[in-house]
Amino acid sequence: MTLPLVIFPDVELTVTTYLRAALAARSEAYTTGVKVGVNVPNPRPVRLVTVRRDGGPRLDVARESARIGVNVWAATDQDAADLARMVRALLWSAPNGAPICKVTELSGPSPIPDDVPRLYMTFELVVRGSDLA
Amino acid sequence: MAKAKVVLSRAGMKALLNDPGVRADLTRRMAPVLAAAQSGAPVVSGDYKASIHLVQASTGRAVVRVVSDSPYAMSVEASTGNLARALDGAGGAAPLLNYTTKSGKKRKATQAQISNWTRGKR
Repeated sequence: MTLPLVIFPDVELTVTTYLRAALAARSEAYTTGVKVGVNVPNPRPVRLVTVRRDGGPRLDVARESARIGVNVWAATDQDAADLARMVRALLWSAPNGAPICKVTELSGPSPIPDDVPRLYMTFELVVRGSDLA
Repeated sequence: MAKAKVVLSRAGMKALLNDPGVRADLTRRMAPVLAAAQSGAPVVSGDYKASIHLVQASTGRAVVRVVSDSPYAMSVEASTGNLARALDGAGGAAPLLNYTTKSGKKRKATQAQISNWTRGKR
């Protein structure tokens, strides 16, 4: 018996692409000029969101569970809190089945000591793979 | 035809979730998580790595945690995801795959089951 050849999406690329577009479409002041990526550039942008894949297993032939860690930086505590709340809301509304099927929050925004206000949160995403056959 | 009815024993389930065998299995599963967390820990002073340990807990059921009580554990986790990544070492239930039997029936089965059924028939 041959099992189907299924490949899973690049979750970091999927989530950063989604957040970049979703934040750009927002009109709130704290969503202006937000850089979204997987690394922290030098110099660090004033408003920055990073997404990091932290493992997570394959669930079955077609789906995997991907853990992601999201860091949010901004110039003020209020700006960071607002941006983190928006990123959180956007991630919650991300599932559309292509490829994100479900989002579960593992830990909500928590302040992290840094030279500027920073918040960290974690999510688990169930994503659908593509049949390569 | 009479219908079967399944009634779960709440007391029995609670006893099962607190069974020493369940705790032993959790502890066995968390040992590689602990090892992965320690081996993946960034080392500056060594305090963070040394602080990672197992905790036996109960939340109405047996719970085993891998924790760091270092004051900068959250900073390390936010920057590296060290503990989150280590979780994969716990494994879990084997994923269920779709399998079609010789007679055409479709079943969900683990890879080990499929290998067992098809042993010597490939």
